[in-house]
Amino acid sequence: MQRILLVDDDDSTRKVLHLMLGQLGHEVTEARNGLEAVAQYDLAPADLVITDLVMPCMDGIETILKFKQRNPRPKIIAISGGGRFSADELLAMAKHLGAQQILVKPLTLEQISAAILQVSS
Amino acid sequence: MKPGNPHLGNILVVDDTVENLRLLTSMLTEYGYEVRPVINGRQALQAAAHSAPELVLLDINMPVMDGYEVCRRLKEMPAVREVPVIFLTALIEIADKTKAFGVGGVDYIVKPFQINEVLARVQVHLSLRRAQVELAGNYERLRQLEKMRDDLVHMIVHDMRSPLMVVMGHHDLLRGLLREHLSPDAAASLEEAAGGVRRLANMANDLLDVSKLEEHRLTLNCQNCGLLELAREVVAQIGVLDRSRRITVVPGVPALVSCDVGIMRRILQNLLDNAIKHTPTGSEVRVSVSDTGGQVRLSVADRGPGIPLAARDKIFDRFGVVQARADMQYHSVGLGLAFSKLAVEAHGGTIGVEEADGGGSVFWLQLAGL
Repeated sequence: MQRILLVDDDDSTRKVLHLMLGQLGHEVTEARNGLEAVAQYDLAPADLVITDLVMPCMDGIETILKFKQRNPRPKIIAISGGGRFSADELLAMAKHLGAQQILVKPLTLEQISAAILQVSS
Repeated sequence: MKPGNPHLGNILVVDDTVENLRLLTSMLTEYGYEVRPVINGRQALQAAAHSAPELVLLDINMPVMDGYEVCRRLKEMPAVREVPVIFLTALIEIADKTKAFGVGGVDYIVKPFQINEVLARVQVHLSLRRAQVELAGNYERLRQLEKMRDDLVHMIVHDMRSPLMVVMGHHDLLRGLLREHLSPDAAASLEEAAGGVRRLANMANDLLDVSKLEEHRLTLNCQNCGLLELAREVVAQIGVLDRSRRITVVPGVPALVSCDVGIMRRILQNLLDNAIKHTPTGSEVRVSVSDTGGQVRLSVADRGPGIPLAARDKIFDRFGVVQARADMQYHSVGLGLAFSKLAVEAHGGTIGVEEADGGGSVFWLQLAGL
């Protein structure tokens, strides 16, 4: 079981990811953007942050940079469907900045499960 | 002198002989051209820099800076580079003509002038120049439209991914929650829906990757992979969804290649989806692999109506539509095959289609073996 902080601005995507992570047996808290995520983390640290990349207020790239300075430092999985840049380009950027795993939306339960297992081992 | 008509043409005339300059100016003005007469190279360059003419009539034999040098310098000015220059010359040596064209002139007129000849040549080069400008403008507009279309595709696909995520995710959840409570029919319905969503997700990815492959921007993550095993895996996944046709993987060599496994899986899915779409219910789709002389070949044989010879190239085009001769129905082949072709070629391989023995088509791809 991992404590996971889930960051995505789209309500229905966040909801389904929350349910999927719950079914995999993890404890999930939610945030709608990077700002909320950092504030949330400072109140209750998580083992793993799963973050979307294209978001208002504070995007995923900046969010990853913020979490790199946190102590304890969480593992990070970046997910994206792309935007002004393609999903691959955004995810490559996220990986370069320190995300341990990157996933393209849409993703299956199996993919999420495998990514979490890899990151936490 | 009548005022010139700028719509007819704006001409810069350069000649150090005042009589010639006067003659050309009055003649061209008479016919409605807007004329700027100057008497040496320095003035010509200044006038052109101030505002670009549409055509230059340029004397070759001038003191200080001759016509060749003026032409050379005009061609260095970005705004004037494409403006046609017609040389005026009393010299008619072959070497002079060659030099005139060499420095960028488009034509020459021999002195003393024949009025009709001057007008005819001026008209020809002005209309040529205008056609060029129009063509360049049309090209630029088309390029912008194409870019707009690609941007639109990116936007649509991006916006599709979140709802796809929601559908796929909830489907996964439902499958887990209901596993033991569903009748076989209901479970089959759920799998049908999953297949539809998978195809939609593949389509979204194909759309984006076709653009990237065309611009050589797709990075392949190559690793060693056995095509036979991969084919079995893809067939098993599709087979669950489609029980009305038999999909057989013929036992054979492992067929090891170096490829991007995610991309190769989508190529196989596309070839199989295409084969299934065109194979009548109850018939068979056969997948086979071979490894001869270092070349690995994977074939997907269907029992469809076959593809007319003339359409076999077109079928791999983006949005290619083929009229299958046998049943006279139009089949949109969409993006799947276009993606497959570009992706196989990015791996250094080839893809094609031929007629199957006993009817139907064989789609094949060939890659260097390991």
